This record gives sequence, structure tokens and C-alpha cells, in this order.
Amino acid sequence: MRDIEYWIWLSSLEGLSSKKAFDLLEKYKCPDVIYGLSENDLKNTKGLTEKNIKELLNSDKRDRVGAMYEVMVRNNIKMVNIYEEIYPQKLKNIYDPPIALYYMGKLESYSFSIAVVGSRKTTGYGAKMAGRLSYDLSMRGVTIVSGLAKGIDSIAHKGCLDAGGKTIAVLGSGLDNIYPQENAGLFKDIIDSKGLVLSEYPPGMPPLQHNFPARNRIISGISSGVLVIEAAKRSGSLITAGCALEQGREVFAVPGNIDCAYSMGTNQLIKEGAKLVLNASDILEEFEYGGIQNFTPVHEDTNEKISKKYLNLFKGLTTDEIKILKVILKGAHNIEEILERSSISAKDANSILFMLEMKGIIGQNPGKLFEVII
Amino acid sequence: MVSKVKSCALLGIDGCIVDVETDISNGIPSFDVVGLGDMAVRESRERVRAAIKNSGIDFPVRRITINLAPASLRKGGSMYDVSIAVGILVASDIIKNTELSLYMFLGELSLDGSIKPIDGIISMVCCAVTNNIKNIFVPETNSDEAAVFSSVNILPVKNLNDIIKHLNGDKIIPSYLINVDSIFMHNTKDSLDFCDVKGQAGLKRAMEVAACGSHNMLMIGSPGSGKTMLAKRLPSILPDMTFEEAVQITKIHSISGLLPRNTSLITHRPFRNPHHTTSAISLVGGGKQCKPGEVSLAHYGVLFLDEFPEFEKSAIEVLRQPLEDGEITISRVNGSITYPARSTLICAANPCKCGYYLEPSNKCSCTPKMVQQYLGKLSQPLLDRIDIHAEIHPVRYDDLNNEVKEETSAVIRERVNRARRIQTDRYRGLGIYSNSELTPTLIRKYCELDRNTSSLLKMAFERLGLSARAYDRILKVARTIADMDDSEKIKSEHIAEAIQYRSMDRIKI
Repeated sequence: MRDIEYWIWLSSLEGLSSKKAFDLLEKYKCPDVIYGLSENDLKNTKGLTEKNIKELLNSDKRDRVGAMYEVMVRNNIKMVNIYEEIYPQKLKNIYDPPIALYYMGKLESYSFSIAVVGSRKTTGYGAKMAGRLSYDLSMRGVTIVSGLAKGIDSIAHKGCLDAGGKTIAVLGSGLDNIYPQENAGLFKDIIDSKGLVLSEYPPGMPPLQHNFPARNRIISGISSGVLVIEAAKRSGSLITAGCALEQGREVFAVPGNIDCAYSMGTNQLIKEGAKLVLNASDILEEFEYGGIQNFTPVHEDTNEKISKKYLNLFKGLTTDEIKILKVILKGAHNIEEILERSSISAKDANSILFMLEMKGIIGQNPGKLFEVII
Repeated sequence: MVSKVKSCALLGIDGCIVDVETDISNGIPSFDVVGLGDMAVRESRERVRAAIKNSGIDFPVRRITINLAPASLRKGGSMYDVSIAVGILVASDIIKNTELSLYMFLGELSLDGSIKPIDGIISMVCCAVTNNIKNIFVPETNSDEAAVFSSVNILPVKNLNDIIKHLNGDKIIPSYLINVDSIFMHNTKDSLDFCDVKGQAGLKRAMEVAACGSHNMLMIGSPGSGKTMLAKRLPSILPDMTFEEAVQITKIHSISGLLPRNTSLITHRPFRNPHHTTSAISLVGGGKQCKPGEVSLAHYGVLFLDEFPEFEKSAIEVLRQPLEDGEITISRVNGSITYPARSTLICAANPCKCGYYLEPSNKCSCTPKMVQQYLGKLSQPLLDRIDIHAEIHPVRYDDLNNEVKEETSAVIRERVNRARRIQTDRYRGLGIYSNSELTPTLIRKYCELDRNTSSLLKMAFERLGLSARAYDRILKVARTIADMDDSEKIKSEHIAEAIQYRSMDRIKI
């Protein structure tokens, strides 16, 4: 058996937590030693339950390792163990680091990374903020870490790719088992753009429910800080924020409407002391991060400047277009509100909205809700 | 003695002349009906015998044979009773008038000799008109329905003796006349009017476009946002009905037994909203008698499918062909029948299982996967037949309470009429009546875009990730919007508005 196959074996055991596996490693130094331990040896090892011992001696699990290795070779999945030099330094220092990481893409040293997380269901506001902040952060050379889930996660990855930055996706399943399936394209894009996808789970692992909270500790573990964009009251993003606090990472949150269910979690975080974030600089000033200095922020304006920017925007638009843009800026999103507040007929408004959309000034969210996207 | 009188069978919504031949001869007394009749036809012997006896006439105790010609056509129903009785009376010389080739006899007999109403009278009268039959005896209750065509004499009768007296010249029945124009005038007022709907200007516009081009429409909105309320009012803005349309609608309802008694013509456009537990058969029609289904009952009107994703998948999918062809052919053991089915389909759906996905209050408790699965039930081929997608947003309290006068249906209908007239003129001789029926070839001919407009459309496709199948739909709807604008050419604002009605085609995150 190859050395790597012992590692695969050890990391594929069910019910053996990362912490226990790590402690075993610390004691015996090498997975092949653990592989060779007899039942008696294991019984004399502290901290192992009956179940753990059974699993460690399970011959089925041992027989499967070869096949797993083949899958890895076929799919170009690589593995790094915790004793290797290139294992992410930050992750090594958490309480329960994964003993091995499976990855695709480039596992070089990611100097400075921020996790951008949020709920799978988003509002237009959340989507906009996720895109904007991850774009700005990666423009400054920050690596964006997220979980490849639907909603905020995908938007954060995309925002980073749009800026030509590097992004890391941490999965809660084996890397041959992309979840959710719709993001297979994004998965490929990340690897193609010299990014990284990683998972602590060996190939073949399905996206089990309990994998995701565990996955969240890696997201925060490899990052310097965690930015929560939108989170409901009980949300996986709050677990990530919790992990971040345990691991001594900074927690940032984007404020939202206090009545909005999707912002309750983030507002609660701010109340408990997470840093309120209005723009990318708010995050970077917490770190002594040099990054790319001579960079003109795209979205970084004070509120005053924003209104000035919109004034610039109004140039070259027709009176009706400005009228409609103004009511959208003032918070009318659906077509009925826009019609009522702008008192423009339905016949004209539809085409004006479309023209504004084509000019890239407004966007449409599911449910035909319009929003200014500049 | 042999006699021959005329009656009528039903083939789909059309009638077919049936000759009822009666032979009375010596021999062992018997009474037979031949000519592929069903149970109801065979049982008519007993009704006829009792009716003749109870009308005070001796039933001939001889060998009686009735033939319903053409003998190869399957016949069902009780409408032949009167003609069989008259045939016997003529053959036994009770009725002296033997020149009956210009008469048709319709109706079911009661045992006491009175004549009961039957279904499908209008189709039969229509058939008589085309076959140059001048006088039609109809059950008195059906006389309003029968009198729609002024070119024939409608003779309403209560019982068998009325017919005998009329034909023997003892007591002439005056032919029954109604004023068809007055029915149309009388009935134009709809009880459901668009002015009852407060606000919702955007959706009203979308519905107006749908009405103008007879486009199918999908409405998505949370519970209580007014989907059903608005859909029910769509018939009130559909273009005025022509006499021919009214006759077709009445035919379908009449053969289905859905025509209210003492109604002559249906002058409202039908609105059918089958429940979502309905079966595929009841939607497209079928059963032993090949009855018309909901798509046909909604002919020239509105077929409204509320809670669209809750319908059985099979039930939804059978709608594809009738939506495309405007008719549905049902084949059964008894033969195959084609019913017209040119209706405007309006579907309403919640955006997700709990219904609140699109609400700003975020009450929605569905996971993204559930949302996707819910609307995913709408199959792509079916969505392809729906031109307009519209979102409904709940009305706000201020809107409900305000005193602003909303436009009435009559005003909107006037505009719709105008847009429809442009279309009928343009497509004269092509066999289509509205923009929604345009075929790809005709789209290329009638929906030409100038350079600016087509580059705008191209940009929209690239930016918004519209699917290729949206292309034809957008052009059709844009054609309608241009017609509403009285514009010969499709301008960029028409295309722009049409694209706004394709929200289901946009790529989702």
C-alpha cells in the first residue's frame, strides 16, 4: 500500500472525529502505524470508543482505499496531509484541523484570505452586497473563501472571478460529488482560474447534512476573517461566524433592514460585536495587510459621493428614465410600486425599465423586482 | 306502408341528417328499431308506444320496423323519439301530410305524449339550415336556442298532438322568432369588471396585451395577490363576439348539456376554471360519448388553471397539442371526433410551495431546492406555448382604500377590439386570426425588425441570458404591442416591453 493510501484510509473512517484522528496521529506519528495496530493496542489507546475501534479494524473500509485512490487519480484530485509543508498554515492551528485535505487546483500559499458567507436564499440586496464586496476585496488581492453553495456563496465566488481574483471553495462532500449540482460550472471556472476547491472528505462522500457545519470550520479556519453578508436567525453562516470566533478570526457583518428576516442574523452579529462593514476598506483596515496599494476602488464611496455619482448617472438619460430611476432609488422595487410612484403608464414604463436594464443601470431579481446595480 | 321523416344525429359539435324510415306491414306484431342505435335508442320503442297510446291514438298492432339511416353511423340519445313516433303516425295514416322532406323532428317523448327538451339543438338546427330543411319541430323548452337562425321556421311543440294537428292543418303553430341582435345588446354588460380591481396597473397592462393578441399567459404571485380575481375578469376585455363565434360556443355548451334552459345564444365569452385535481380526460375531452373537455368548453374564451403546478403532470401535458392546433381530436371505439379548442390559457402559480417566495417580508419557509422543484414542474414544452409571464405583487392597503376611478372593462375592450381588427385584416385569408397563432414563417414575414431594433434584441439575449425559444414569443408579443400602438413597424419600445414579459426565461442564480 502506498503511503497516501494510509492517509486516505484514516480520513475516510466514519465516526472518528478530526480531533480523535489528529490525537492518534500525534501519538503514533504515522497512519501506517495506526493501520497496523492490533485490537489490544487500540483498546489501550485513550479516547477511543468501542465504535471507533471497530471502525479502525473494519476490513471493508481497508479494502475500499485502493478504489478511492483510483478515483482520485482519474479525477486529478490531490491530497495533502497535515504534516506536509504546503498544508495551509492557518488551518493547522485550529482546535480540530482535518488530518488531510483533498483538493483540486493550486494549493499554494494564500497569503491573505477572507471568507464571504451567507444564506442560500438571498434578497436582491444580499446578492448585490456579496458581489460588490467580494469583487472589491479581490481587486485588492484578497483571496475569497466560500462554500460553493447556492445564493451568497456562489455570488461571492463569481464576484471574485469577475475581478480576476483567486477564490477557494470548500465543499461538504467528496470532490467527485459536486453539490449543488448546478454549480458544477462554477466549480470548473474556479479551477480554471487557478483557484482552489478543497474538502476534508475523500472521494465518494455524499453531501450529508452534518458535513456542512464541519465544513464551515474549514472555511473560517483558512481565512483571516469571516464576512457574513446575509443570514437568517438560524443559519449555517452563523455557525461559520461561531467557528471564526473560536478560532480567533475576525467577524464582519453587513447590516441590513432590521425587519428583514434575511438580515436578522447579521444584525444580531453586529449587536454582539462583529464589525459593521460598509465597504471593503472597513475589512482591510483591521489587518496589517498591504495588498495591492494603487487600486481605485470601484464601489467605495461615502454616501455623499454615491448621490453625486447618481447625478452623473442621470446625464444622458431621458426625463422619464430619470423619473423611474429616482423612484427605484427611493425604494420602489416591483412594477406596481414603480408605476404608482412615477405616474408613468404601464405601457411606457415596461420599455423604459428595459432600456435602463440594457444600459446596465438597473437589474432584475426573481419576481420582477428592479434594483439599481451601479 | 312506408314513411320517411327526418331527424338529426350529433357528430362532435355538428349535426348529421338521419332518415327515420318506418315500415308497417302484416305479420306477427312486433316493433324493431335497426340502425346501430344504443340503449337509449332501443328503449325509445317503449316511450313511443306509450306516448302514442296516451295521446289518444291506437298504436298499430302490426309488424313495425324502423330504420335509422345511414345505418352504418352509430346513434345514441333520445332525440329520435319524436321522429320515430311521427314516422309511425304517417305510416299508419294518422298524419295525412306525407310530403315531409322539408321537415325535421327533434325531441324526446314522455310516456304521456309530451315532448321533452334535448341537448345539442343548435347543432341540429344548424345542420338543417345547411341541408335546406325549412321547418323544424323542436321541444318548446328548446325553442329559444333553436330560433337563432332566421332562415328556418322553428315550430315549438309541447306534445305529440300539436304536431299531428299542425301537419293535418287543424291548428297551425306559428313559427317562433327571436331578435338575435337584442340578445347581443342585452348581454354585453358583464358583472365582473376591471374597474373593481384597484391598482395592479402593470398586470392589467399585461392582460390587455394578452387579450389583444390572444396570448397565453402565466401569472406568478403569492396567495391573495389577486390572481383569480384578475383572471376572472379577462373575458370582459376580450374582443366583442361575432355571431359565428357565439354559435360555436353555444354548440359546444349545448351538446355538453351545459346550456341553461331558455337561453338562445351564449354571448359571454366562456371562463372555465377546472379544479387542479381534474383528470387529463376531463381537460381535453373523451369518455364513452366523446364529450368535449374543458379546453373545448373554453373555446373562444378563457381556460384558467389556478394552482398550475398542482395539476397532475399528465393532465398538463395533454394540453400541449390543443394549445398549438386550436382543436383536439379524440379517438375512441365509437369513432374519432374533433372539437374546436381555441382558448386563451391563463395559468396561475404560486412562486413556491408556501407561496411567499417573492414577498419582501420573507415569510417564505422553502429551501432554494424546493422553490426550484415547485416551478420546475412546469415543463419547458408547455412553457414554450405561453407567451406572457407576469408577476403579481400584492395590493397595498392604500390602493384598496383609494377612491381613484379605475378604467372599466368597456374602455379596455374598445382598445382590444381595435387591435384585433388590425390583426384580422392583416391575416385575412391565412386561416389565422391573431398574433398568437403566427407560425415561424409568418413571424419572419410580419414581424420584421429594423437594424436598431434587432441589435437591441440581440443585446437583450446576450445580457439577460434569454433562451432561444423565447425569440419567437418575444416577436409575437411585440407584434401585438405594436398593433395596440397602431404602428405598422415593430419599434424598439415594443420589443423592450415584450422582453419584460419573459421573466421565466431569464437565467437564475
